[in-house]
Amino acid sequence: MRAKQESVNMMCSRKLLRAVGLAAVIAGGVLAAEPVLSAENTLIWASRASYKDWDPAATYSEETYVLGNVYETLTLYENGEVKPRLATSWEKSDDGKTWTMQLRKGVKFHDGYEFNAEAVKKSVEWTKSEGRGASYLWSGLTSIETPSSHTIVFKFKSPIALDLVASGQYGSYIISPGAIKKGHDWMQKGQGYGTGPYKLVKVEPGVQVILEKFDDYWGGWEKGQIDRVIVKTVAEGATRILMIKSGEADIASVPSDQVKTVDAFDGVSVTQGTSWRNSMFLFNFKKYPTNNAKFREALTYLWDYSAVLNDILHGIGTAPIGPLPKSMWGHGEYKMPAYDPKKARKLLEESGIPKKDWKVSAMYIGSVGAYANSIELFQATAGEVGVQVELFPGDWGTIWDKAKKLETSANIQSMTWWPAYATPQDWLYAQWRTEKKALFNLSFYSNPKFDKALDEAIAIEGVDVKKSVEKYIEAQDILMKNHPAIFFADVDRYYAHSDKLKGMEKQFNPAYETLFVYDLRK
Amino acid sequence: MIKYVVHRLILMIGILFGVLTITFFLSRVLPSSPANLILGDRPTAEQIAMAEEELGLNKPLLVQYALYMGEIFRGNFGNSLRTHKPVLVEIHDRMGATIELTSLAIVIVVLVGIPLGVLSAVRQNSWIDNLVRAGIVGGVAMPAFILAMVLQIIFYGRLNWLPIQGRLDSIMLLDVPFAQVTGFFLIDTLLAGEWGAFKNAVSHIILPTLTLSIVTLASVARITRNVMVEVLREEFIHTFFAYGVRRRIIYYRYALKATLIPMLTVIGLTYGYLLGGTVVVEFVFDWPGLGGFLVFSIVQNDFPAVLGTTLFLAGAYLTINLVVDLLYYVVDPRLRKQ
Amino acid sequence: MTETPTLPETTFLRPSWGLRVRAFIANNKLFVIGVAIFLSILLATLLADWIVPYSPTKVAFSQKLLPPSLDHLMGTDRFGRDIFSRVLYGARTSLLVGTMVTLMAILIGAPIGLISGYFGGKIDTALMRISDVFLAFPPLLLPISIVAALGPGLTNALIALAISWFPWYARIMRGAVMRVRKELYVDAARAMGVGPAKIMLRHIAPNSLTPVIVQGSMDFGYTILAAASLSFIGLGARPPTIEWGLMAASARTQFLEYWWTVLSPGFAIFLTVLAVNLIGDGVCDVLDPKHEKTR
Repeated sequence: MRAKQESVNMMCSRKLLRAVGLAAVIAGGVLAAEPVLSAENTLIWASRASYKDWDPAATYSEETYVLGNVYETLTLYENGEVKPRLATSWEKSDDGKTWTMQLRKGVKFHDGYEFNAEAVKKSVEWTKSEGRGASYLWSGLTSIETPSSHTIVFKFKSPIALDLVASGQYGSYIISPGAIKKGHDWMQKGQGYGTGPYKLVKVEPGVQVILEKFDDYWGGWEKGQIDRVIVKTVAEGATRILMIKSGEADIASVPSDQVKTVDAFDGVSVTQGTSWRNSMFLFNFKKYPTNNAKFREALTYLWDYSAVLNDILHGIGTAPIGPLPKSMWGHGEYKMPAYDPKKARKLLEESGIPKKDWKVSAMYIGSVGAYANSIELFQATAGEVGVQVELFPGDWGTIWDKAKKLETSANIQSMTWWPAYATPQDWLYAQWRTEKKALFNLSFYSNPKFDKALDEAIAIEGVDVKKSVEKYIEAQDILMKNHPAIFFADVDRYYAHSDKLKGMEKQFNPAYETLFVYDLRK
Repeated sequence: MIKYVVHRLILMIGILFGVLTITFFLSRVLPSSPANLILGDRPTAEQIAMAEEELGLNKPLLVQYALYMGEIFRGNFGNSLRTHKPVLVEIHDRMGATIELTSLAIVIVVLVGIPLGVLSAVRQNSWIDNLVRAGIVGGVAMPAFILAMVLQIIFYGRLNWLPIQGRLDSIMLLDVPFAQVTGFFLIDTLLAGEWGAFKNAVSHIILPTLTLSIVTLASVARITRNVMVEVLREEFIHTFFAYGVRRRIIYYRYALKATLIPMLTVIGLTYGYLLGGTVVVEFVFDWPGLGGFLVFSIVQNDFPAVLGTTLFLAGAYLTINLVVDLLYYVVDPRLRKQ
Repeated sequence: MTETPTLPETTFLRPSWGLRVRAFIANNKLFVIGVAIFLSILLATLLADWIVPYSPTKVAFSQKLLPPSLDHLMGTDRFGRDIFSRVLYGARTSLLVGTMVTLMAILIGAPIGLISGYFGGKIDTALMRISDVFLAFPPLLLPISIVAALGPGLTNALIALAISWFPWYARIMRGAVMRVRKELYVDAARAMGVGPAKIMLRHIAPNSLTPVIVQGSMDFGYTILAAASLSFIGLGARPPTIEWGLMAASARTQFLEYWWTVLSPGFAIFLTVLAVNLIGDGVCDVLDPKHEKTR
C-alpha cells in the first residue's frame, strides 16, 4: 500500500515535471521561430474594409479598392482629363446624346473571351438590367450598336458626359461575357473575370482576398512587379499597425491618429495624397432645434476646425472650402466658419431658441476614430457655451436606418462622401436634392431653387462640361447660404507602407479608391 | 436512467426554444433594417424595398416568427446577411477556433488550478496558502480585456516574442496548406506534418489561452480550495486522522475523491462558460471564433447569424450540463443505487 | 476540613476594545485590507470634486499623451486630459453601476424567487423554466443583445445587465425560501390563519435574504467587470460619461506606445473589483460560513 501511494506521488510529480518540460520545449521552439514576413513578389495588404459585393456591377462600396485591379473601365480620369483605357478614342454628338467609341484591340478577359464591342455591349446592358449598385448611371441608355468588332455606339435619351461616366469606379467596369453567363450570385461568392492585370483567385469573406497576376494582361509585365496580392481583413487598427511594423504586411491602412507614430517606424513610411473624400456632419433641417438657420450657423462656429485637423486627424485632411472637395472640378469656394465660441453664443441668443432647448443629438459610426474623437471634442466645446450634445454611436446599418426616418434621426449626422464618377452632381444630387423618402439626403433638405439650378447643371454637363461649372456653383451658393453642415475635412488618402514598395506616388488619383497594384514594385 | 436522459433532452429543447424566441424578438426590436447589410453602401430605394420583401421583413412580426421557427425545424438556418454563407457553414468554420482555444484553456485551468486549490486547502494558512489566495483574489478581479492588452504590450510590444493577433500568419495559411481534419490547428498541422505551421499556430494561441486561463484559473482554484476545505472538515476525515492514517493518503485518496462531484460541476460549468465567454478575448486578439462572430453579428443585426450562433452556443452549454449531470451517475455510486 | 477554593478574581476578564479589534484584524486580514482599499476609493470618489488635480474634461491638445509624472500621476490621454482625475471620476460611475445592477437584479429576482419557492407546483416550474432560458445564454451575450436592441448608453447597459442577472437571484431566493418554508414557525403562522402574503413577507422573506445578500456582495465586483467589458466593446457608456471600460476602449489605438492610457483605467478596475471581492468574501464568511462558493 505504501509503495502504491508513493508511486502515485511520484506519478504526480513526474507528470508535473513532464508538463513543465513540454511547455519549455514548446516555448523554446516557438521563440526560435522567425516571424513570417511578406515574400518577394507577394503584396500583403492589411485592410480594415470588409467586402461584400464582388459583382462589379453591384458593388458600390469598398470592394472597389480591390476590384479596380481585376476589372477596367473604358476611360480613365486623371489630372482633370479623360484618358483612353479600354477605349482608345471617342466622340459625341452635338446634343450629347450619342457617343461613339473605338475600343482597344488585343485585349483578353481572364477566362479567355475576347474583349470587343459585343462584350462591352453585353456588360453594360447587363449592369443596367441588374439594377444594382451604380447602375442608375446608365438609366438614360436607350440603345447600344456595334457597327464593327471594335466600334461601339451608345445612345441616351438625355445628354450625358459619357466619357466621365465610363471612367467611374462604380457601375462602369467591363465584365467578361463568361462571368455574366454564370450570373450575379456566382460572382458574389468572390469570383469573376475582367480585363485587369490581376485575377480574383479566392475570397474568404471577413478573412482575406487573394489576387494573382494575369499573364496575358494587355499592358504587359516587367520585372519587379507583384505576382500575388493578399488582402487581409484586419478589423483592429492596433493590429494593422503591428503588422506593418513587423513587416508582416507591406501596406496597410492605419488609424489617422497613429500616422506620425507609424511613419517613424524603421523601414515604414506613410504616403499621403489628395482624394475626393470629404467628411462632414450634416444638420437635420426638419428636426428642432437644427431647423433654425441661426442655430445651425451657431453650431458651425462651435467646431474647433484646426484642432480636429491637427490633433485628431493629424494632418490627414485639409480644411474644406465648400461642400465639394477642392480637388473636384466645379467646386465652389466659400468663406468657411472658424472656431469662435463668442460668435456662436451671440448667434445662439439671436436664434430665438430658448436656452433649455440648446440640446442636439449626434449620430455617427462609432468605430470611425475621426468621427468619434471629433464629435467628442465638439461635445466639450459646445458644452462650454451651453449646448448639450448627446452622442449616438453605432454601426452604419443601424444608423442609416434611423437617419432615414425623421422620428428616429438625429440633429447632427456623420457623413463621408465620394463620387461614383467625376462630377459635382454626385454630391449635390444624392445629399441635398429633394427626396420624398430620404435615402441619402439625411438633412431632409428641400429647396426648389437649389433643385432647379442643380437640374440645369446636370443637363448642361452632358453637352458641355465647362459650361456646367457655372450652374453647379450657382447651386452650391444657394446651398451654402442655408448652413447645411459642418464641413470639417477634405480627407486625404494615405497608406502606411514598407519603404521597399515603389510606385506609391501613383496611387493618388482621387478618381479611384483602388490600390493599383500593377503600378507597384517591390 | 433512460427516462431521465429523455426528460432532460426534452427540457433542453424547450429551453432552446425559449432562447430562440427571446433572441428573435430582440433582433426585431433592433431598428436597423438588415437589408442594409446585404445591399452594400448605396442602394436605391427600390433595391431596399426589394430586399426587405425578400427577407420577409414586411410581414407582421408573429408571422415572421412562425415562418422562422418552421425553417429552423427543417434545419434551415438561412444565410448570414454579412457574408452570404449559410449560417451553419459559418458556425462550422468558426467553432474549431473557439473550441480549440477553450479546450486548451480548460486543460491548463484544470492542471494548474485544481492542484493549486488542493495545495492551498491542505496547507491552510501557510505561506503557500496565502500566496494562492492572493493570486485567486487578484485573478478574479482582473478584467480580461486589460490582461489581454497587458500581455500584448509585453510579449509583442516590448519583447516581440509573440504575434499580436489571429490564429495563423496568412502566408502560412496559403503556402502551407494542411487538411482541416479536426478544426484544431494545433492537431491538424501535426497530422499534416507541417512543423513550421505548427510552431506558428502555437505562437498565436499562447496569448489568448493565457488570458483566458489566468482569469478562469482563479475561479477554479478558489472553488477547489473551498470545496477541499469543506471536505477536510468532514467527520470521516477526522476519523481517518484519529486512526493515524498517513496524511497523504487521506488527502489524495479520500478527500480528493470526495471533491470530485462538485469539481465535475465546476469544470463542466466553466467549460460551458468559456464557450460563450470568449467574446472579449476573441475581440481583442482577432481570434476567428464564434464569440467574436456573434458580437459582430449582433451589432450589425445579421439576425440569421445571431439566431443560429446563439442557439448553437446555448445548446452546447446545456449539453455540457447534461453530460456533467450524467457523469454524476458514473462517479457517485450512491446515485446509481437509486 | 477542606476550604472551598476561591476563584481568582481575574478569571472572567473582558477583552478590551483594542484587543478585540486587533484580533479581528489578525483573523480577517484580507477582509480588512479590502475594506481599507474600498473606503479609500469611496472617499476619493466622494471628495473627487475637491481633490482632483485637474479638470477631468478640459481638453488641452498641447498636453496630449504625456507619460506619468509628478504633474500627471497617470499621464494624459489623447485629448490632453489628466488621466488620474478621470480615473477618480470613473470610480463614481463604476460604483454606481455595481450598486444599481445588483440592486435591480435583486429587486426583480428576489420576489420571483419568493413566489416560486413558496407556492411551488406549477408556478414554480413555470418560473424556473423561464429562468433556465435566461441562464442558458452564454455569459455577456444576453446583455450584448439587449443593449444592441435598446441602443448604446450606460442606462441601457444597466438594464441589460440587471435583466440578464435576476434569474440567478430568483434561483437563490427560491432555494432559501424552500428551506425556510419547512420551518416550524411558518407552519405555526399558517395554523393561526395568517394569509400567504403576510407569511411570505413577514416570516419567509427576511429569513431567506441572507444567501441573496451574500451572493450580491460577491457579484458586485463581477457586475463592475461586466459593465466595463460592455463599454469596452462599445455597447455601454458613451462620452461624456467617464467610465473605465470606455477609457480603455478609447485608448485602443494608442495602447502599445502609450501604455498608461489603457493600464491606468485597467488598474483602477482591478483595484476596485479586488477590494469589493475581498469585502464580499468577508461578508460571505461572516454571514453564511456554510455558503457553497460554487460561482
